[in-house]
Amino acid sequence: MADMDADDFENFEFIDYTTSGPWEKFIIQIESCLKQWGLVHNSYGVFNPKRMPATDDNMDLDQELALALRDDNTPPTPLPPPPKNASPSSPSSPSNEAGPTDSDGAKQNSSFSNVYQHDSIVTLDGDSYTLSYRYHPAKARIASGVERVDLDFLPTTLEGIEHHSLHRWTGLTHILVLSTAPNSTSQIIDLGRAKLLQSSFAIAFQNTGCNIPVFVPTGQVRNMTYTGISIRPQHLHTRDTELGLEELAEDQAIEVRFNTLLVPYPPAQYTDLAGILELFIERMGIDDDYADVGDEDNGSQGGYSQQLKEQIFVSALFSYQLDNWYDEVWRQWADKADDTTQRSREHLPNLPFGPVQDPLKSMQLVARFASAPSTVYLDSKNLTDMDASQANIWILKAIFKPDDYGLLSVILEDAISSWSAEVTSLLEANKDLESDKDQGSYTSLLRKGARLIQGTIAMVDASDVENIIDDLCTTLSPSAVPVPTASQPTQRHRSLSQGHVGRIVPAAELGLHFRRATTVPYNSFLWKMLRHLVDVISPNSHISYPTSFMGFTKAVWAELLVQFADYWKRKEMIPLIDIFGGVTDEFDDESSGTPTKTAFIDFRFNLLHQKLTMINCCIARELARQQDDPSLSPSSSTPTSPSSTGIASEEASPVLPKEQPEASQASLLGSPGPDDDTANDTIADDKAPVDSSSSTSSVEEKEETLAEAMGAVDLNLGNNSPEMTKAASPAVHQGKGGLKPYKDLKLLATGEPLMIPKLQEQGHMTEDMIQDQEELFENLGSSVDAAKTRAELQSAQLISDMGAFKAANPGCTIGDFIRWHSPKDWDEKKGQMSARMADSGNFWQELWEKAEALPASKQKPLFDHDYQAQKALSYLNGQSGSQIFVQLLPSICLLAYDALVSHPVSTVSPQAAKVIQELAQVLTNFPWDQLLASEKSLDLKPVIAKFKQAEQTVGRVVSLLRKFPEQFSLVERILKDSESIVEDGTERDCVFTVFSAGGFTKTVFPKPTCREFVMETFDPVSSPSSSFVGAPGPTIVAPDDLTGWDARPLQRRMYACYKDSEVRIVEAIAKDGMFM
Amino acid sequence: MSDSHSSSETVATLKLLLIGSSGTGKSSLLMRFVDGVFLAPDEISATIGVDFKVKVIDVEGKKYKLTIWDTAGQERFRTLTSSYYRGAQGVILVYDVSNRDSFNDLQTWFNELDTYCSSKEVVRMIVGNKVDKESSREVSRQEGQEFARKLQTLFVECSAKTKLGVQQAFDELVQQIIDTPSLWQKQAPANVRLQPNTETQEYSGCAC
Repeated sequence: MADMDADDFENFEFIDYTTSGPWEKFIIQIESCLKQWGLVHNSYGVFNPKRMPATDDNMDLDQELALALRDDNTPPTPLPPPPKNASPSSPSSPSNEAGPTDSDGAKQNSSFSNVYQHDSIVTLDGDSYTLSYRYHPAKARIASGVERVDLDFLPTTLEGIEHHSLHRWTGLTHILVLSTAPNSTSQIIDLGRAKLLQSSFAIAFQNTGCNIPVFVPTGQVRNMTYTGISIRPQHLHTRDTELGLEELAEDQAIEVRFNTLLVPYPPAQYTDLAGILELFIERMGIDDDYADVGDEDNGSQGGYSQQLKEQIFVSALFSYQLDNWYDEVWRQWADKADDTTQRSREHLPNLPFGPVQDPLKSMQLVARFASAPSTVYLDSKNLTDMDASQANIWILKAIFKPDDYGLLSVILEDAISSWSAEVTSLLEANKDLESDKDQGSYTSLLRKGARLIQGTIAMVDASDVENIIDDLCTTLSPSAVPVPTASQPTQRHRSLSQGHVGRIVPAAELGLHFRRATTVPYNSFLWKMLRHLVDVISPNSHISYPTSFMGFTKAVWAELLVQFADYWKRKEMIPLIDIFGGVTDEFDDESSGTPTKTAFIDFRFNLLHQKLTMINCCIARELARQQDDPSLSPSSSTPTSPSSTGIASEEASPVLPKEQPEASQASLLGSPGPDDDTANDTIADDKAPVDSSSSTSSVEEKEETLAEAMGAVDLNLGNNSPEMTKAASPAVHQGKGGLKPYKDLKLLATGEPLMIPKLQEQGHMTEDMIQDQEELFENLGSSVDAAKTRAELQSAQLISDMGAFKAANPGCTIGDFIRWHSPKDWDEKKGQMSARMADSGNFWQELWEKAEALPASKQKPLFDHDYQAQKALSYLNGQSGSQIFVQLLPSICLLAYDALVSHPVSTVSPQAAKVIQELAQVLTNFPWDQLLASEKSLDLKPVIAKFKQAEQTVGRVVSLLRKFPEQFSLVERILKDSESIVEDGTERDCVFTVFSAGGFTKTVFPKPTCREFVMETFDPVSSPSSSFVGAPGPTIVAPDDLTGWDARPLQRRMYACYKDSEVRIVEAIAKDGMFM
Repeated sequence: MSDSHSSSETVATLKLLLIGSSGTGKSSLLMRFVDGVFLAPDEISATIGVDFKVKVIDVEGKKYKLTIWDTAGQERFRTLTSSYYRGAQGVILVYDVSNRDSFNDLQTWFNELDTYCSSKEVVRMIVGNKVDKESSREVSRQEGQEFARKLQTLFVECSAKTKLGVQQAFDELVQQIIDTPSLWQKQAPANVRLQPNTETQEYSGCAC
């Protein structure tokens, strides 16, 4: 063999120099193409299946070839340089593939990672042709165990690529297809020309040893009729050896001729299997050796003997089409108990998602009759047993409408674009437009039912706004116990499919994974507000005049601002704003209201929510103060005081005139420009940056303001000092003023028990306040002085503690204080303070000197709740609609996510669960923090796109499950690969029912829309390797049987396809020997 | 402050945080790392509230500015100090190997940390300080390691006094942060885009 190769190449070189005729040139071009693709000596060249894994990255041609050749049995041959006369166009460049003859062929685009086609231009007599080497990955996929692929009817679409129909018609995975080049003058190749072209290939095949068939189109392009030829020099092969064929000489090649017949209206006798079987026998020129014997038995059946027919193998594939019918309630969830009950508490309809209409376009059922001797199947003019129910295998395919619309993502888009429109119009509009005047006139306009909203006009029905406000503010009476902010309906788990999928993160939890404090708690006040607002632009909305999201947001927000101020004024907690940070599901035992809970502002949520929490914290302080001092609040029975529990009564504090918030409120409602407000805030913060109170460095101030000091609140070291509460809680005996002794310590000087004083409750800060403070600290620099300044700025609380300690423990020393406050700085053995505390210049000592013995209740409060509440309110007032939106956008997305994740489909479909998990990942990774940090705009399109993908997947699952109730596994498989084998049993019954019902009217199973047959016979009868893998058949190609690549002796084969009242017949007839 | 001119050369500013019970030597660690000197905890005044130091370090040829926040360990300061957890990219939980209580307190500190920054946002490191006091050691290295393993944090023992392991601790923490760009990197502002304003007309169009 090795010598042969060398000879061939030498001959080739030699001919190249002497040839001059156009035909010879043409042959040379073909040969160089074949060599370029490695199609020599029976090699598959660049498409060597052993080197073509089912999923592979794109390699360039040389690499592929190098790999392929190395793997071939042929000795490595030096690659001839690319022929100069061949087209310089690189193989598989897209521009060359779009030949008109390929209309049905590969619609490849360059983005596919796998290349299954190489093109080259060849020229004969000035006519250009595209020669393409095409590969169908079916066998490779089987070999790698990827899936089951029908080898008798190769799928025209695999791996997302459309493959040439010839693959299906011939059952061949490697073919060469010639077509007229796009720029060619004549697109039609007449019969004479086709013959000449084929002859050229026959010679080229002889010269190169290429055994890949070539197909040349003839006649009308759209008919896709081809003639073809392949020459298979017999070569030694394991299987051949087994079959005793090794005696065949090299020159006794097998020539296979291919032919296509397209008959528009075939005669009736040729429309059934019996008819075309006779045609097959006739066309293939098969001699009925058994004719005499068979005559008696089968006289009526065309005269061919049973024995002959038994040697003809038939497989068939019937396709049934079912167009989806209109189903208004397609999204109705079959498992009703799961769906509707859980949400019945909510007043709002669920957010819709998925497409508007049933996304299912049609379904295709393929009934596959496995390869069997033709006598097995009965299909003649009068009698047939070939209907779907008899088929060995059913394959169901679902075809969905193009994904163009997703309700949920459109809602998001609407919301976002109404915001961008607002931002744009704001930029364009005159500054005056957004001034006070506009804002001020808001209420009156709203009453009239319409309102001019900053540059854009939106109709907002006043009653719609009122309804929302009512629901938010009054449906839950403020006296009701705070509703858990993060309780979410527990996910129902269906054991069926849960195993394959990771956990789906519920919306409440996902919000905490968002980047930096960007969402609001699940079911909190703002969450509910957003539910209403998003509902406004949802198609399900009951709103009277749907309008832009921003329009409504601003109308509602303006109304809410009034309400917030009112809550503060009435000292009534804003509902659904939990100041105890009940964020985890486990803690919805709010009714029990454990007294140890301490109010705090949860930084994990966004600033708007923090500000509302601040207001509630301030209200709680005020309520606690009033409770301590009954004279302040005659109606102290208010059950809304969450921090009131566990507070020992205090000495009466002087009455603080209740501040009338009217004045400030008026100005707030007038909505000064946000700039003014921020400026004010900043100044205020600069003055009082530390310790969340207005008094930072002003220890002295304390004295004058003492009289006005508001009631101190409970001691409450609770939440953050387990050690001390442990020590204190036993409360052996109460000292004066509710004091408790600390351990058994005695004062150093007097020997009195060391008492834990009542301390001022610590203040609350929102994130922005901390940031300001942090900035201030940083700006001080890192010098020693700066450190001292910082310590001073933060010493107010320490001083307060010291003062209270002194008051509680007359005659105490700093040592006593340290023993309680910083026990590690007290050396019990030596009975003295640690060196750092004892140091003469120690700042603690300095403070100790300053601190005046005063019970906490008489000290100036560290936390000026009145001031802070006003500040929070003014912050809220200062936010423009656009700023509000930016703060709420992450929560809007979370809300939309909730709509998907709370649908039961996510628990039954791993596909749905997977896409929801991906969505969760996108939401988690999105840089929300930057959206908030600046005016910088972010590209939200990936988020929206992911939403769309998720809702569409979920929509499809819902749609299919409506057709095939409870068939979770079937639906899952269809969605995964777009088609699936229907298992016997309930799945088949279910599919049969759907196809029989076929909508409202039909009751019978439909007629096949397409019937395909493959008939094969082998001469001599050898081992036909045709099979449907896994199906009963004569032979089964084991997935790992790579020798089977060459082992398909393509002898006599006929493919017939009945569709649309025409029949296409593609025949392949093999002949021994060469008769050129 | 010096931000304006230093930012031009530093790649990023990283916020680190030192927490742990009082007297574990947080301030000493910081001083050792930033100033290269050692003052026994006895000699450094107990921190009131929070304080910070700045250090610019070189990692792979790039400069990073570290603002390291030191916190008071006393119970009474917790509310104040915990406010500063947010936004930190790295947290060092310090305990004293010669003081079991400070080790036992770690869980409390850790829980608190969890409330204020989720694990995705911050690199955590447990540091056992004062290994120079080997004779009075109360917490074995093994115990420290196991605890860190349980909480899935970095772990190292060091001594601010002998400076053993201090530099390495900070280096490792910073390296981990740098290796997780999502913790600190801002998205390139060049190609960010607003959702297209295609619907602008639609909304201005309904003006009647």
